[in-house]
Amino acid sequence: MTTHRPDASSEPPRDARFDAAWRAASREEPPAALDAAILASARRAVGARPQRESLREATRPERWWWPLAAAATIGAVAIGLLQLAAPDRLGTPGAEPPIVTDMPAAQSPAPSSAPTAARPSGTAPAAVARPAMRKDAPASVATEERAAGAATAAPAAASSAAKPAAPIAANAQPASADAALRIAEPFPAGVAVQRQAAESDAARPSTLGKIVAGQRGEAHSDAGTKARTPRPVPEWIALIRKLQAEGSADEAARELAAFRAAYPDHERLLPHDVRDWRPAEK
Amino acid sequence: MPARAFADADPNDPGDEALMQTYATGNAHAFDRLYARHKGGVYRYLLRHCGNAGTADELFQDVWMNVIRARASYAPSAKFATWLYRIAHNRLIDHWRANGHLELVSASADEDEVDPLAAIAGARGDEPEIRAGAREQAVRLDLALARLPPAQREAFLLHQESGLELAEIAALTGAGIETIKSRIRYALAKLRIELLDLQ
Repeated sequence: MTTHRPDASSEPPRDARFDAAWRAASREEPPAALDAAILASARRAVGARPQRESLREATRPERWWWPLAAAATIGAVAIGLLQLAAPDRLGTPGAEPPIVTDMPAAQSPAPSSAPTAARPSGTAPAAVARPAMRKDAPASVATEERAAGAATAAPAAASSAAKPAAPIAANAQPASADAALRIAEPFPAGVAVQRQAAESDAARPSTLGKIVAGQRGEAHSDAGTKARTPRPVPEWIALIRKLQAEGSADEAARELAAFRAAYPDHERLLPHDVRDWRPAEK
Repeated sequence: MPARAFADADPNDPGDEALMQTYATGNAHAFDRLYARHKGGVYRYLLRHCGNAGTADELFQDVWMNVIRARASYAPSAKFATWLYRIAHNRLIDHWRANGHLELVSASADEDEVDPLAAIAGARGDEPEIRAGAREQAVRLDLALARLPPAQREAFLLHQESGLELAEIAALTGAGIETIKSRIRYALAKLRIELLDLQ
């Protein structure tokens, strides 16, 4: 018995006439509304704004060093600023953060006057600021101070890094302190504390509540980049049907595409008439 | 016509894999180009299989949303087109399953490998949309494809629309290369009769 083993890699013979006939008959493209919806989703997913420059321009080798140079500049400035700061502030536990001038100065002689004038001239900063921070400092300041002290603490310090913030931040909103606990819990103490310490520079004048709100806001904005807030299913289906009935085929197609993007199980949610509907051929 | 999917076709033009990686780093323009290259082939692949434009739209959108979601985990171990059509192939199977078209029937005699699409019985030949289409060519094309066994249709469409090679189609469908080749040959022989008088 002879076994015929044709070359496995060889392609079936191409027929030019058939290929031409196929191309003439098979030319469908996705609807423009669908194109737009998919491209918009792709942009949202990477948080991209509409780009004007071409890909080649954006990836040109000579531009690669720009972000690196910017990062190096920022790093150098940050290091310079740190070195300019008072040495006792960097290393000693009793050091005074510079934001003390923004605190409500309960210990100062004239608390209700200009807060920036709270530091008496000629007084050692730590001597004045320390009590103020312990009692009346905004929670972000207290948290920052605590974070600086706890950065090297053992994991057991997790609760102590977060929980004491609540009594210290007595002036802050209770819900915010509670939220701080909730956010701190999933992370090891070092991580939670470092996150707070890293963010406290940007959020220095704000309260702990604002920091937490900021963290939450980040999470929300992340989610928001993935999909727009979906309408309730029945309402959305009713809208699509209404648009179809009004003859607004493009808008109906856009809404349908958006619905599908928002609900991964759209195949189950959409009624057959809506699911199988498509705009009339142009 | 198959999309241009080979990185070495033009040294100045980034290949699909490079574009996908560029997109994963946040450059949405790379996705635009990738999408423009492949949208037609993927769309027609899905449309020819399901025969219903509304369903094809839905599946098409799902396929690309999967591509978008998987951008971070994409690794160019194979051609981008192979990866893309695998997503489309799997989505199609999920669709048939969800709609109860998947029945346990034996594959045709020349096909001993198991391909889930081979188990789809009468998936679309009886759908009224095919007969009620507006354009004669498209309708005849659809009818001719509908008469093909699903596995032959799958192999033929992947070959015709994706530009994948036989080995890639074989890997994608889980069939052997020789099986794929014979499926394409059978499909071509049947479709040639239907299509050549359309010219």
